[in-house]
Amino acid sequence: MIPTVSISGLSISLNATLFASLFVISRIPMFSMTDVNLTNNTLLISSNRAIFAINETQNVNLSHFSMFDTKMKSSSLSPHFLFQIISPYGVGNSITMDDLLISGDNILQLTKALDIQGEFRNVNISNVSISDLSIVSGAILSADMAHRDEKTLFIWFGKRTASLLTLENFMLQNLSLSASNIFDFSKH
Amino acid sequence: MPYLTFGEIVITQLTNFTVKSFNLSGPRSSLIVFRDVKGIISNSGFFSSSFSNQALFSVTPTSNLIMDNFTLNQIDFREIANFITLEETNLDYNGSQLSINSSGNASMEEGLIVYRAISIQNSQFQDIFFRSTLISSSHPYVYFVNNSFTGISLLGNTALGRFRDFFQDDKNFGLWRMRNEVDSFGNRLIGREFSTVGGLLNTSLEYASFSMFYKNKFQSVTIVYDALIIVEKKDLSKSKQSDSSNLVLFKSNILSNFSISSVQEIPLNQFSMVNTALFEDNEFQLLTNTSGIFEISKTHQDSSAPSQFLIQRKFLKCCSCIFEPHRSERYWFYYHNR
Repeated sequence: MIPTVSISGLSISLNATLFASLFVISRIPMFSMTDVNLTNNTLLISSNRAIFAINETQNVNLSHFSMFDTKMKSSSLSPHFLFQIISPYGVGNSITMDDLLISGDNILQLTKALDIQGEFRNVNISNVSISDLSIVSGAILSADMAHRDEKTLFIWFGKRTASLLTLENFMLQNLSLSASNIFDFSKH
Repeated sequence: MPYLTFGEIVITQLTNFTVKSFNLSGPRSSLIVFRDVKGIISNSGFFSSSFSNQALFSVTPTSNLIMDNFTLNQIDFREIANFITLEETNLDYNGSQLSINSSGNASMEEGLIVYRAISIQNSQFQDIFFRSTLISSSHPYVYFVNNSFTGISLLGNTALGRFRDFFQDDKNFGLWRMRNEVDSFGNRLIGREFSTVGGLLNTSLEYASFSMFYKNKFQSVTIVYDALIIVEKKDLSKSKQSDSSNLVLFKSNILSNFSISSVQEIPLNQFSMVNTALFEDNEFQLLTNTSGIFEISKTHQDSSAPSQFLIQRKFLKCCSCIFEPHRSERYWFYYHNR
């Protein structure tokens, strides 16, 4: 198993149809990504696919992300994702995101910008600025927290542990939302 | 962390969260949704927008929602638009919930509450227009503490806050002792604001619901034909405990400079299904055309449970108050200009 993957200085500018996720990171204990920029993208994306699909990774760190003039559209009636982070099991899993900027003429249709599913101890997202964003039937953040089974739930609770999502310093301006959420938090 | 209740395992904290100038359209949806997740929102606000058929927040009654230092400024809630609304939930609660047992292990225990609290504290609501109920909740525990409502326009047959038990499911849990109750982790289940009014309450009673309005200011309010606050609570306990106490506390609030377009036949504040009501140190000024300030009715018309309605009046400037029984077990408090 590769213990750590780091990506730094990534720029994406595409006019493409995506039938699969663009980046897939699976079973990496530590994944970090910094200085990522998406500019002038026009993307038609299949349902349940993501630009960044991150699965079963214990620690995810993302910093200095920016997106300008990007259009994302689903090729079906199901959503796709800018980031999708799934953790079916892991008491200590965490996600940290800092310094995210979305500006310019961005249009997201059936898009969840960040989709989080599964078991996480801490999710920290800070210093986010979003302006002039249009979303149709999507969300900025969708988080569906769950435990793998009842035994796992008892282990968490027995340790006096809860899943904690901390979102700090968000500035959202000039949003246009149709049948969309800014945040959708749920537990099952 | 206040209001941490039994089995609460996912918590979301939003801090310094600001939304300015947003355009909402399409089928009904909510900007921020909490489903079985505790929400704590502090130092945040929504500014400068108007919209229809949408809600800013929706929450299930099994989610605690706590707002501290929240600002709502220059928002025009048009048709079927709300600040906080209910999301329907299919609560299939079998009466047991995750807790920590006496040996310190996680286990399922019987009779623990599953419904949570809604609390809005230290918050500012300014230049708000609305035509539908601004805040709807079926949380049994409602805390409005130290909030300021200024430049509020109620433009429909509606209410600023409507708190009732919208879901008629089995209330399969015991009563809440409130003063002494602690959660599975040993923390008190109630927030700091409770300590300021705790002395008013009968410590021997267990409560099924508690609605507290304390140190709020309602100023420069325009009303067409509306109520400020409507509380209607069902018993939350098992049916055999149907005489359990539903408590309303309305203390140290200021209502001033209300402009009402015609003589209202409905009182400003309506509390029904109540068997303990404590009103103290409230101030009322310039409530023109208001025919009633409070309407209180008992939990059950045929109930033998004792009721306690404690009123300490404090009225200022050109005001007087007449207290008279309107009909059996129902009381109106009228306001008249001198």
